[in-house]
Amino acid sequence: MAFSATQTFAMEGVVTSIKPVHSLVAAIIDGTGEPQLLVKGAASPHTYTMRPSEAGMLEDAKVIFWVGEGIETFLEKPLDSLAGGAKVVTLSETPGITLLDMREGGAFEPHSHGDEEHDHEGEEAGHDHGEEHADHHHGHGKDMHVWLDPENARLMAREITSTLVEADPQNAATYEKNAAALDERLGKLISDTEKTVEPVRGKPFIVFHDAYHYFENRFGVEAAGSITVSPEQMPSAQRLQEIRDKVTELNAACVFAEPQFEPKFVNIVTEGTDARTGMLDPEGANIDQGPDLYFTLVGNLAKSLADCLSGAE
Amino acid sequence: MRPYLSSLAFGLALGLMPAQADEKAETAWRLFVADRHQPVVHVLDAAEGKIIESFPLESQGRLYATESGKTVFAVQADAGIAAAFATGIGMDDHGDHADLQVTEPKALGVEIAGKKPVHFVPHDGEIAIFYDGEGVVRLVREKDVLDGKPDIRSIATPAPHHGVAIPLGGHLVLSVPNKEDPSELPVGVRVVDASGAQVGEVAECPGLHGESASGHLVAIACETGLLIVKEEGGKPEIAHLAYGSGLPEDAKVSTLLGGKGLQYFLGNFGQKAIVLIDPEDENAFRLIELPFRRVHFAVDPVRPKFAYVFTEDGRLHQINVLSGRIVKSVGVTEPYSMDGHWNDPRPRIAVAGEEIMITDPLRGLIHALDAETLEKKRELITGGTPYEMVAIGGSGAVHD
Repeated sequence: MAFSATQTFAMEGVVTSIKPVHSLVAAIIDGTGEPQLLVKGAASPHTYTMRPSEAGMLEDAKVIFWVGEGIETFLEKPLDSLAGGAKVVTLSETPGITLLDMREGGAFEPHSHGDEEHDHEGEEAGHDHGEEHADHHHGHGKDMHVWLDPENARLMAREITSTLVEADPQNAATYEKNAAALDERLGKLISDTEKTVEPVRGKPFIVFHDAYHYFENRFGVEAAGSITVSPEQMPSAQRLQEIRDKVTELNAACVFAEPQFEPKFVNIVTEGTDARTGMLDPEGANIDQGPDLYFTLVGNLAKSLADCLSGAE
Repeated sequence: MRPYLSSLAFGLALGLMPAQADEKAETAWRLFVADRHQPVVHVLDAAEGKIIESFPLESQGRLYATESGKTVFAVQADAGIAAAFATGIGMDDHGDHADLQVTEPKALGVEIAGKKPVHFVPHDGEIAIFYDGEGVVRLVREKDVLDGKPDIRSIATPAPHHGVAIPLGGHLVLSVPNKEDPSELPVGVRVVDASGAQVGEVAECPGLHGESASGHLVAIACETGLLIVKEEGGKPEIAHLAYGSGLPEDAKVSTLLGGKGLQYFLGNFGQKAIVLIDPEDENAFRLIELPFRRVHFAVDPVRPKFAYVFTEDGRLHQINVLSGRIVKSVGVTEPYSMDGHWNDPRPRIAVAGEEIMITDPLRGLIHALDAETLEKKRELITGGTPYEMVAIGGSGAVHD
């Protein structure tokens, strides 16, 4: 096959860790290639185990984009052992991004995937439970859900663009053009989200997973507290009462779970309180991967908050 | 004060990091080795290459380590006993690192008796031992075993058979015997809850033999393919994965190993091949043909991209599980023919940190190979006929 002098080759070997990162990279790389995604579907990056084909992706990668230590726990060692030939970009270290401290203490319970009565035997077997999660979501005391602030996403997109331009200068014009379009879209997303959540600012809500601090900080809504609950195990009667007391005490208008929790489970936890229930999805578990995912993810967060909180008394 | 090591290598899948980068790194590995002809299990300090303890058994023992590495069981089918030993090496997870506690190995005084125990499955902190002679599974929590206070639960199946049980998140996946002839291999599995009540339908698995866990999956081998089990909505969900059309029709998987650190399975497939299985890949089965008949195979828990196969010509082959190819082969022992009895003493492989250990039963020793180069480094003398072997250990920083 003959190529003209102006024809460029597709950029290959771009690997991304989780769906929100993949979405931003896919938008910038659009027209020159397709980034590969490690954690697909509804899998959790905290408990993920790579398959051989995914380890092969790391070995062959030219550029790897990940959020960083504390989110993609499964990647921490393989990046050292398998990805020696790749440029690794840790997006939580993007210059200028907002970094928030972890919220713990007070109404925010420690990060864990098991309630306080959870049996920790599984930890011995290498399963992720309870204390295993104590250090999840943060690196060096920082909350690592940085992508949930679209202003951070704008800066991350710039970091992604400069990395791709350096790795593949032939396609620089395409990356820069796509990046400009993405930045414009992100700007509109921010203004649209502000409008969506504006009516429910100040209404207290509780989350099962304190992942939304960046979103709250950007858009002026604020969780009143978090509850540590395991999706695999119904809390004991005593623990249920503690949770219900807390929901009442914090006057929470809504309690938000995540996709891994059955609605029935959430209803039992909040039974006997005045709180409504809703669903928030910080990683796009149930959204199709691709350039639009990031916008759907943030839009869904705003809509879920607004719908639940506006319906509350 | 007892030394505590912050584990770096023990259970790579946990992604452990050192507590302090400037702490002094140390290593501790132990080999539990059962003799083929004498009812004894020896414990060797791998670094010293010497036996530090020997425990008598009632009959020949097959050795199994739990997932935590704190316990080794010697399953003695002829004596009708599964005996528990504390390895003396345990890991306490501290989130960003794990402390490895090193104490003396000891017999725990826990002997779970029953007729002809064979298959031993540790999962989710629970241990399931299937007693073929009764068709009964006995379940015990590892924590209780280590405390010396085992609370043994028994669940019976309809008939004595060569069965298996797999604990999975509060449920149990249990083999279903062949109604017409229970002496044949099982024909399926059923899921039971904590009370022993069946959940859902029986999943067919003709000629069931071989199971393992890797990542979030459990695989069970059948004549027709594999059953892939995973937890969905708080209970096990079972799907059948048929053997690929490219595989030989006259073979099946009957032994399965689960990858550590990478989610894959490694199975036998006929006498001169193994098969790499990624159940979530479009091409789930990759056949790797061997130059001679297979004696034993093992996955590398420290370097997840590698697995090893020992063949009857006395050579060890390093498999790259990413490419699905043999990348290195070295001669280790004199030939060990696969003709003869299945239980004749032949080499077994275990990975102990930076060394690959291979028993050489006819010479009464263990070969230690460098894990990177596969060069022979040294020989560990056991005497007798060293046969079954498991390696337990890790490396890290000492906390005084």
